[in-house]
This record gives sequence, C-alpha cells and structure tokens, in this order.
Amino acid sequence: MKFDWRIPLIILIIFSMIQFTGRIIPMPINIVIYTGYSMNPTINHGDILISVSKDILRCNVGDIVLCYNGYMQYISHRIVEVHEDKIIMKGDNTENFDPPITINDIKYKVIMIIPRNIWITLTIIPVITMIIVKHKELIELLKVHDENITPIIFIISTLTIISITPINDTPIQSVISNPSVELRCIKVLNHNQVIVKYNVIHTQMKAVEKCIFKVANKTLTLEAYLNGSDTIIIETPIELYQLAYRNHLEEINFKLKVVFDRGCLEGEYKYIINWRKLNTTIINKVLLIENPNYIPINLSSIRIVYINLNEAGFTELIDIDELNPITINPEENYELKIEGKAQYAYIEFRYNLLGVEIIERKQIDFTR
Amino acid sequence: MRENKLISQDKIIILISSISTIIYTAYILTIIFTPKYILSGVINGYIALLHSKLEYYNKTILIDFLSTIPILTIPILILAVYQISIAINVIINVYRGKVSVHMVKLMFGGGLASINICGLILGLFKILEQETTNLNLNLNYISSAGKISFGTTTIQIPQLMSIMTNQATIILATIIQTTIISIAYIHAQKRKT
Repeated sequence: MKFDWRIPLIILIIFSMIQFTGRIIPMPINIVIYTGYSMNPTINHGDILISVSKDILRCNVGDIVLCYNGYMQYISHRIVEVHEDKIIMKGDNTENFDPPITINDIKYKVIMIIPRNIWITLTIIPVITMIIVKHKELIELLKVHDENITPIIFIISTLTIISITPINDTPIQSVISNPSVELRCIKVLNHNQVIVKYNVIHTQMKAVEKCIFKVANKTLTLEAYLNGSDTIIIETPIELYQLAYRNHLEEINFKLKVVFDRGCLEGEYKYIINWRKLNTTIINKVLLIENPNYIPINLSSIRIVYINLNEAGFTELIDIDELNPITINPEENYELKIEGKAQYAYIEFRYNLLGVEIIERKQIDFTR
Repeated sequence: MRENKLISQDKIIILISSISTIIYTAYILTIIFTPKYILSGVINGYIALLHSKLEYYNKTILIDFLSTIPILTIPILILAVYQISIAINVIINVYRGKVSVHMVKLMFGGGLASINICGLILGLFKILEQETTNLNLNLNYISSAGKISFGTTTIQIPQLMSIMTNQATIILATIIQTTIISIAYIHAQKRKT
C-alpha cells in the first residue's frame, strides 16, 4: 500500500488547531512541552505535560495546573493555597509565590509528565526509521512537489512546534527576590546608646558608613556599629544632650548611611527627648531623687528643716541642715538619708530645668 | 536535460538569487544569534533569540520565558540551514555549468517558507520585547527606612541590532529575498517549458 504523505500533515494541522483552541476554550486534553526551570525537579526543561480540563478533574492544593494567558503564554505551577476568591500558586523551584489568580484562570490539571529523554527517543526513532524505509517515496515526493512541499512542511512543522510549546510566562518576581529594608523602631536605650532596628529582607547589612547628628546647627559625627543582622547601635556622648538641653530642643535629628551587600541606605531619622522633672520618692525615711534626663542635673540647694509639734499644736523648729550642692548624673539616683532629729523633717531642694527654677518640697513623718 | 535549457542570462539570475539567499540566511542567523538586549545593573547579561545569560546580583538566574524562545527558534534555524545548503549547492552547480531547475524550485520553496518564518521571527522579537521590559528592575526607592539604593537595570539595544531587528527591515529583507528567488524561479520555469 502506498503511503500518503498528506495524512500525517493533515493530522498535524488538526492537532495544532485543537491545541490552539484549547488555550482559550478548554478541551478535554492538552499537551505542552514544558520549558523553563521553575518546576525543577518535578518537571524538567523539555518534559511533556499531559493535562486534562479542570472541568473533568477537580483541582486541589498540591496539584500542578496549567493557566493560559492568551494564545501564547502560560504558567504551570503547583497550587499551594486555595482561598474563597483567589488561588495562590508557586513553582517548586521558585523563591516566591506567584501573583494570586482566580479559579477561572486555571484551564488544565497536569496528570502526566513524560520525561524528555523518553519522548525524544520515542519520537526520533520512528521518524528516522520511517525516513529510511520510505526514502525513495520521499525523494519522489520532493521531485514531484518540489516547490510546494518545502513551504508546506515548514509551515506545518512550525505550527506544530508553536502549538505544543507555549511561552512559559512565570513572573520574574516569582523567580527573584527583591531586597527590601524597612524601619522597625528607634529606641533610646540610655543616655549613651540609641538603637535603630530594621526589617531586612533578602539583603545583609555590612557596615555603617556615616552617622551624623544635627543639633542646633552643629553637626556631630558619632560612632555607630552593627549589632546582629538588623540592628545598629549609636554611641551618644553626653555633649549631644547637653547641646540639645542648652538649646531647649526636644527633637534629635540624625542621618545614617548603611552599606548593604546589594547597595546602600541613607536614612534621616528623629527621636523625641522629654525633659522631665526629677522624680522623688520616700522609702524608709530615705529620700530618693531620680534624674530621668540624659544630662546631669545640679541641685543648687538642699535644705532640711526639722520640726516638732508641741502639745499646744504649735511648731517648734529643732534644726536646719544646709547641704552642699550636688549633681545627679543622667539616669542615676541620689539617696538622701534623713536623721530622726525631730518629729518631722521638711526637705527642700532647688534645681534648674530648661531655664526655670524648680523648688521641690517633701515631708518625712518620724512619728509613724 | 533540464539544465541544458538554461541560458547564461538565467544562470546569472540564479546565481544572484543564490547569493541573495546566502546573504538573507546570514542576516537571519545573525539576528537570532546576536544578543538584542544588553542588560547591566541589578540584572546583568544579554538576551538573544537563541541564547541568553542573566545574572541577578552576580548570581546566574534562569528565566522561564528565555528557555522557551530558543525552542521556538528551531524552525528558523532549520530553514536557514536548508536554504543555505540549497543555495551553496546551486552556486557550485552553476560553476560546474549544470544548473538544475529542480534545485531552483527547492530554493523557491525555501523562499516561500521564509515568508512564514518571517512572521515567526517578528512574533518572537515582539514577545522578547514584552518580556524583557519586565526585567527593567528599579530597586532605588524610598521606604520607611529612608532612601534605598539597591540599583537599577539598564537595558540597551545595540544600534546595529536595533536596525537589523526592526520590523520593517525584517519584512523588507524577506520581500526582497522572495522576489529575487521568484524571478529566478519564473525564469527556470520558462526555460523548462
């Protein structure tokens, strides 16, 4: 029986048409040569995917599905999450999730993967065998239809290749991870240290290149260093806060230049200083004066007045102690032990805060 | 014999068409092998129809669409090999003084196929252009941390490639090539009859 060369060509045309239509209107079966690396090692470059319409087989989490975007582009990834209105997919070899899609975007469910070594062998051997066996007919065919057969073979083979090799349109964002840095917090640890914390993703901090504080038109270059993968510690000298205090500033501005493995960051930050009054508490006849500020506070005068209350209800001055001025360092306490010379002791001390003289008075009752 | 019917004027036309086929094929091979896009910055590398190499922060990355395009370029490559072999064969035969009408017909067939392939080349360059735009990353931005400079990607098209891969250039080259081959084919057909 004479072999009719038109038959395979017609079969290929019909196959290509079904394949193209299947990219828009789901057909029962779709065949695709997978190209790309985003599904390695499950699917390798060149493997054939045989898939069935999602209307025939339901798609669930863990399934590999095919989504077509027009006639030429597709994505074939694994479903990792199914929500009410969206589906999240991810390639087995990608770092990130794909942008969310809807169930309507999914056209087919992959049911079989034919490795490239197998299908190439199974295709090439019969084709070569057929060419060898039918070479006389082939030469005759070329002689008879020489000017027609060449374009026909090329057109049909190109059409077939395009119909089974759509373009794998895995988004670049799924393959690569962009670095990002966000500020988490700025915290004043104490008068000596400020910490700056970041959320660092897909990049690494390498060094702090610059740390400049600007206080009242003065620029101070301070020492800053990395602490861990996302924290910078800045050493703040006492002069910084003294300068701010002298200028009645409640906001400290600073600039940081941080070097990352993928570039650099220049940030301008600020933090608030609350200049606060001294905290005083009496514990067991001891007056505790706490300086919550980042500068030393000078108590200019401390006077203790000892008083008794006589039977008639009048006060009787027993003694007055005048203490020398003292300085309370930043974030430190000063303990003043009061002797029980009388029934009552009144402590009065004065200090200056932001140009205002503050007088504090406390009473200790020794009768209790 | 068919070749005896061809006079020297026909041989010149066939020779011209063969040379034009070689030039056209060389042009097609050049545009599919030569990188059209040169990327520098965050993403470094080059993209040609048949091969590409990209690095993201000095680490090689594999982009899926760039692995599909070389497969779709295979028919172009096969046709180019086909056309160049036929054209060389015809030239050798012309020098030997025995031009086969049959070979001219096969060359003409290749010319007709190149019209179809021309559409494929244009389509592939269009897809390449669309997809390459997505590689134009800009990682210089402002976040809550401040001004972040992680770099940008610059995509350059070499001047010569820009001209050679222009739609008009590809279409014009194919039309000229097909016209020349058609003239040779018509002449060969006349002599045959």
